[in-house]
Amino acid sequence: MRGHSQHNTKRACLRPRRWAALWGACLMLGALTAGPLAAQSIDEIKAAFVFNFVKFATWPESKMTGDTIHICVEAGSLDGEVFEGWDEKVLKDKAVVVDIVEFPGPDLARCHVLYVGDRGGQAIEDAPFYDNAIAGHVLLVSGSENFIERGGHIRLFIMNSKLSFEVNLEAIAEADISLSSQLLRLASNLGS
Amino acid sequence: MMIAHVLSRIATAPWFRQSARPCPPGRCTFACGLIAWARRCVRIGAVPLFIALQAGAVRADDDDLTELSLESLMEIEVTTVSLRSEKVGETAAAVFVLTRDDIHRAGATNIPDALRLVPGVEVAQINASTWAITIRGANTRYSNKLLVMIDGRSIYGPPLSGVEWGDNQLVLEDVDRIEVVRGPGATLWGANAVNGVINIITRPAQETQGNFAQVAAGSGEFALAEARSGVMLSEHSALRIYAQARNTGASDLSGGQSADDAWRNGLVGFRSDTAFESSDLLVEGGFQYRKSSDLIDVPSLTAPFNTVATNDTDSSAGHILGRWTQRFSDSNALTLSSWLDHRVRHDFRFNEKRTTLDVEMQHVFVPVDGHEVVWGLGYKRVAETLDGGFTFTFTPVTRTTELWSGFVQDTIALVDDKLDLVLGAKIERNDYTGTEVQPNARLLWRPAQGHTLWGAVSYAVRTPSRWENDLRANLRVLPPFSPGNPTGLPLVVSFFGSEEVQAERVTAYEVGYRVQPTSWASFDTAAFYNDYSHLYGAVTGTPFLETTPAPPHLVLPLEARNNETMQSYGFETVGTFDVTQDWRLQGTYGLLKIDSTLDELSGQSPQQQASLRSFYNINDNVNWDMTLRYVDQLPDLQVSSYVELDARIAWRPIHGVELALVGRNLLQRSHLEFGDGNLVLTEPAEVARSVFLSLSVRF
Repeated sequence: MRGHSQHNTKRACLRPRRWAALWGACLMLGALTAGPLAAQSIDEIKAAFVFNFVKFATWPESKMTGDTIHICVEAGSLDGEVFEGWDEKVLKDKAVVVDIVEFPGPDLARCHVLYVGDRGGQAIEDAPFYDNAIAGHVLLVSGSENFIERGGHIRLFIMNSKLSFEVNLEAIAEADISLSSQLLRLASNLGS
Repeated sequence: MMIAHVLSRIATAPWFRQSARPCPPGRCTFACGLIAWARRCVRIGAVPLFIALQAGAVRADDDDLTELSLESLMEIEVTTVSLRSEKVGETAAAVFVLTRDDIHRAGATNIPDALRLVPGVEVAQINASTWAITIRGANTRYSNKLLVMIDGRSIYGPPLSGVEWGDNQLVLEDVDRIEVVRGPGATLWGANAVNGVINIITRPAQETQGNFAQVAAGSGEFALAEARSGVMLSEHSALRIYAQARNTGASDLSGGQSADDAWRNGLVGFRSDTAFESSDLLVEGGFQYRKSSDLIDVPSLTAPFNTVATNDTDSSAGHILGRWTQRFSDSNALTLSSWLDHRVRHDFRFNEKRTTLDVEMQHVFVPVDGHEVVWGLGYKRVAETLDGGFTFTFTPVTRTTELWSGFVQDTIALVDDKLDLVLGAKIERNDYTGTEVQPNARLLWRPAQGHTLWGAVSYAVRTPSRWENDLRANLRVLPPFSPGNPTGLPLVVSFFGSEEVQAERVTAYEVGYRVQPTSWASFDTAAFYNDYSHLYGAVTGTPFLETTPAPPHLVLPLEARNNETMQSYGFETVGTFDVTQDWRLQGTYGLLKIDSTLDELSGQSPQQQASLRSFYNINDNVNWDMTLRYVDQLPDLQVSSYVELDARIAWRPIHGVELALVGRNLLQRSHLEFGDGNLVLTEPAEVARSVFLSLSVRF
């Protein structure tokens, strides 16, 4: 037979209520100082990838003469709300400007990166803006299937429940853009 | 001002000042140390800390993903259905995720040691290859209210309702993360997920390309060798193969004698992942072998009636698992999975042969805006032969059981991004108790200013298995004319299972709160009240005479009944601080109170557990990590509280090579973590101080 519970054993210095009070106070203090902890949509994560791509991309000097970095997003591709607050951000010592663009639309020459919406498997090379984008050194990013096989630069996709990306180095070189090795080592595929 | 006022109230409160007095020698050193540390913190550091927190909240919006590195972004789990990142902070349950880095830097060489890092999880090593692990109470060797899965394959074993941890080893380098859900998870995972769910998830083969080898050796005759090789089979398909061999020497009993519990195991396996455009295919399989021994009580009908003998166990297990996920759109995905597990175990008490087939379907979709529905169907078939001897007898020897299940769960966005209601239920039909319905309701509230609060009410059951139904266990023989047996015949104390037993039931009430005020500090707290009924106990029957096996003897029957109740309540909390870019601190504390009609349910779990972890990068190539752990006493098992320290220093002299020196349980020569409690069935051994050196190479 095992002995009865030794409930009379006193622990002189560790009283649950005290700990609860102490830790609870810490939590309250944390709460008082809290920042937002809202849900993150997949669009927010994709947008954050785009933000990081800009960090690791290098454009020709002619493209970097202004005071702004233009992140262009095809209307309807990513939720516009995810870019709230981006106008206060700085990349490469330049103010970030997010432009929501529609096609046929404005000249893309000002865009450093263009996030392209789902084209239903249609070749990006056939899109009316493609030639201008390449000539204007615009980095083309999309989550569209077959995007890099059909002329796109970086494709975001879900693998094993996580976002990953693949890169078409050849097409990027054609646009006279280079990506740092820090970014390329994380790519799933560097094929063309 | 308000913050300073609160801090001032704490610092000047009589209980706080009193609690920080020097402790009596040898008592609660860790607790007193923490209190003293906290006191100093409040007096000296807390005010600036929290002012800094406040400033940080203005400066850095934690929700801003653009401040995360690409590596961090690639680690965010994405549910293809909900279109939301599945972060721990978004779950209406008490979830803790142990990452691969957490496990690696703890110097853990097995899953139980890794689980010591999770708040609210009770881990007690019984001997070299045996552990008692549970969540939120009622700990024992076969903790029957905890569901454990590896890549979705349950390793919860039916013969004695629990997990035989020594039979389920992994190459920890290949573990992506361990998700621990405290509290019922029955709606999604089914019966036996009463107190919690541990889901061990291994890495996709794409992430384990190249070669890896590790050797480790140290005190206690510990030796470990493991290797893995990964290749790309095609552009989108990857494979890894792996192998491991382990030896652990015998430990000592409290009296100094050998516990005779040496343990050897080996395993081989593979995992293949293929990522198509809109679907993923996972196929994995493995085989493992274990040979171990321990000391057990052996009753017999002749003098000396009860002896302690060495029990040799050898077991082997193989499994194969396939899972196909088809994404029809970003909000619609179907998963089909199936696994087959076959294991054979030879033991002094009984030999076991078990084959489990499991088939599951799960579909997630968004029927209308604001609703995310996940539903599924499942079938499990377990064919099992349990061939016992005098100590354990199962009748019938062979039994095949089936389990049919279906579940549905709807996550309803009551207020976009603010308030979610989760309603779900699982219906199961099992061969022991028939149909069981397990519903739950959860509410997740994200107020505007950065708090996540959640609450849940769940009902879950633990269904009986072979031992409650089919087992006769001869536990002890009282010699003639001995205390408790005035007769001239041996008196056998025997446990009898019963077909009449019902499922054990719990209604759980939980609330939780998470806050991440800055990118470098986070807190997570969950509190619970669990009300259990129909718990298994035993009633003493009328003694009777039995003539076979000879010699004639009396039997004192203990018959299984659902006659016990339990109420447990408490909370767990964890705080994580990135003190500097190279130094992270993590503190945990858990309080558990149990009121039960059965002493062993309340006295086999520590009332309090606490830990403090430090992860420090001395430079890019050297890490220095430490974990200080406090575990309260187990009054029913005469196990004292203990404080222990684990430390690890790792050095990477060149790219791909790591040399690590790990010390575990450094503060005492040895300590006892568990006792001879209910269903322990082995002599508990001391857990000794140990040190080992490991070398790992990637190429």
